Amino acid sequence: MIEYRREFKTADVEYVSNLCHDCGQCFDVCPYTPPNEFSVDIPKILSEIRTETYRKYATPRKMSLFSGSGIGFTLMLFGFSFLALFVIYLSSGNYLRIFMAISGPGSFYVILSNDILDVAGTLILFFVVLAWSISGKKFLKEVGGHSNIGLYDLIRAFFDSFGEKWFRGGGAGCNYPHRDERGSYKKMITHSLVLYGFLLDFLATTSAFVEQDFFHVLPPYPILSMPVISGITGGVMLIIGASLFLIFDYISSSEKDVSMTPIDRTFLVALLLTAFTGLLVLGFRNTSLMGTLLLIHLSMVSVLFISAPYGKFVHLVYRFISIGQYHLEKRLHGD
Amino acid sequence: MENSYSVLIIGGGNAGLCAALSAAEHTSDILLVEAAPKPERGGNTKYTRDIRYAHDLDGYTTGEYPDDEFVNDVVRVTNNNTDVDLLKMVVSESRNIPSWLQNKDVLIHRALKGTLHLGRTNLFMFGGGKAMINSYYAAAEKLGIKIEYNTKCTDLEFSGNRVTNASLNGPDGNRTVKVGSVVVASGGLEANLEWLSEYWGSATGNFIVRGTRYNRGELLRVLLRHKTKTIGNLSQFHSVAVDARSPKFDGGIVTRIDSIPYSITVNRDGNRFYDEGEDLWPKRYAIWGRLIAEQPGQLAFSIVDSKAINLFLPTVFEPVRDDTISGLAIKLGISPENLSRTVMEYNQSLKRKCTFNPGILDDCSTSGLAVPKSHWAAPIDSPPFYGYSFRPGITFTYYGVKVNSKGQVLSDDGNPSRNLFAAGEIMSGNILSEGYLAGFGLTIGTVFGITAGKEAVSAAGS
Repeated sequence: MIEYRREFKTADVEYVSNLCHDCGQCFDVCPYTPPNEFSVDIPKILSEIRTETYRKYATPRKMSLFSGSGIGFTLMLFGFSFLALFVIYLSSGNYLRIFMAISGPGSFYVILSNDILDVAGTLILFFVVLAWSISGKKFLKEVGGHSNIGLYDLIRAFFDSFGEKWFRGGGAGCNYPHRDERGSYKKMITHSLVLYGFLLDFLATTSAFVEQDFFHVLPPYPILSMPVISGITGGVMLIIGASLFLIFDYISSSEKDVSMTPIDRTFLVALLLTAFTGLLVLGFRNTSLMGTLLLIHLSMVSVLFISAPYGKFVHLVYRFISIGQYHLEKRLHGD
Repeated sequence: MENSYSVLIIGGGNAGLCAALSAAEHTSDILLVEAAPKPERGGNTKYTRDIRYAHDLDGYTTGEYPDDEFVNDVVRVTNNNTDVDLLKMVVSESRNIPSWLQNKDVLIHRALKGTLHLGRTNLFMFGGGKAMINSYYAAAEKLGIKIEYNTKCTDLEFSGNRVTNASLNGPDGNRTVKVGSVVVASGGLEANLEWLSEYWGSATGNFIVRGTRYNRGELLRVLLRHKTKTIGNLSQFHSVAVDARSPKFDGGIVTRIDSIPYSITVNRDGNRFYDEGEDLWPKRYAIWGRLIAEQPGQLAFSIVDSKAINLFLPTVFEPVRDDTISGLAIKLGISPENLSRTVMEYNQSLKRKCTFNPGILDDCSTSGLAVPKSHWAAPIDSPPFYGYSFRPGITFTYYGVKVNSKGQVLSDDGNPSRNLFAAGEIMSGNILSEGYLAGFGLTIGTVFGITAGKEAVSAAGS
């Protein structure tokens, strides 16, 4: 952190920017924010640099060109995914199944075969993990230099991240959504809903995969089952969390407040629609709408993951590394 | 708009808010007027970060700070020129500061290591002085204290030894309010350069005011008109060397430059004028503002070479840089011949053998110079060379009104006013009549603010 340095390289600024959780407190307590002549707006500067790091360290680098606002890229991805899934559906023969009500074990796979879903899912996940790892490594090399983040630092970073520690503003809370209001835990709660909603949905997918491939129980699963309970809970949390973020962003967009960047909004809308379409599939799974909804939902899921190395999703990589680096520096300075 | 208040507080910095919050424990009929607009509220409190207080072992500091030691520290920095009764009262009351802060939702850092050697004696507010003042304002609003920004008090009316009315000038024009009692917490007069020029002449045009532009001492002038007993005079202020490129007002704490002990410091003519290495920097930085104020054009230049550039805190503005001393002199606007001669004479006067050590009073000194450098005298010979230009940056003034232990303002004949009180910088000269002790201004403002607020309520009723 700042007290450990006398000179600042570009990488140091990138590190501090990604360590920043955009809590807004500094704006409220800094005497140099406007109307002071120095007119320093730290949260805004750090937000710009954060977005810049997502571009700079994207893997492959060229793909970052797509992420200007992210919306065009996301729409294109959606169209592409939907088309690909539709072609896969058509290639298996019966053209009218998508408009029929199908129920019973394996009903989803009447639309798209289990094997194709497994392969596509695994490939996309592999791609995301690979792209994130390469980007993370590039970032770490710039930011960490020759120092080595140890297991201890990563464990601390893990607990900080999943404990939402840095959204607590050191006990004072975040000045959110309005910068000049008293600190609160609104931002922490909102972010937790999104984070844990997403994790629960991820758990739903994973548990479904386990039930089907290891225990040979085919979906759809009953309401009182691991995939459905975690899926519904996660989906609802995600929808509430992402909506809250967007609502807070909307009401805070006066001149003195920091508004989100376009890529933040794109990511949130993608999360929101993924969760929403997932719940729709559940709700209409015994009707003739199921086929169409399933294609839309799976297209949203692939949009979310294929864009993960380029949009706001990637923030978790740089933030996690930055928190780890922070704990390393703290440890080396004996604090 | 109402035109009668039980308690009127003039000034919205630390002392004013402490007075308002303290008075609010007994009444809600309080008006606080703040001269600044809301985004600039809080006087110089927004540039602070720590408060000195007497304490036993606690969680906010690294050790105990007994009353006696605290009293002795003040006696020492003021050269024994302090009102000991008031001082002892401030010191003993200062023990209550942490619990007061916590009651007002001001967060305090856990004990900090390595902060300017203040970790034992001072507590640090989480988020600094502006976070504290924001918490105070939030608490005041919650308690129903009426706050008017952009509003000044232009006069007070007296009946015998009581204030009866106050003239206010705000966004809606002038009005007079009836008051039960008044607490004046309007700060010092450092931003009133026109007034300071009555002593300093045209030099004030070259002064930089480190803090708020709203500390204009106008209430002090009002009180002078009404024959109030004063302490100090216009010639006195605390000032440091700040970057000459600093904003005229509100540059705050970041414009100070700490290069002097590792440099030679010259005036506009290229001549050294004071021993840069006289003592450890924390004990000496506060004399340099005044030294520079006495130089031609109120300008000075600190010259270091590449060996020394990393020995002090990084500066907010980039230094001027050149590979030769004469080149640097031209860029800084000093005569190149004079600066080259000064550097040469300095380099030739250095001891052959010494051990340079920035952490202690080392044995590297000059010999044979009219103006010696007693410590950290290292040759200026490794390009690139760097130069900073300085102006005097005024932090605060000492001129103010005389008060008693209740915070009551005394009139010329020594009698206290019944219901007129003062707190903060306008009266801190009673205790800190000269010199400086980090975090002590807030101590005086907090203790006297709380006391004056409480006393003002009882005086308003009587």
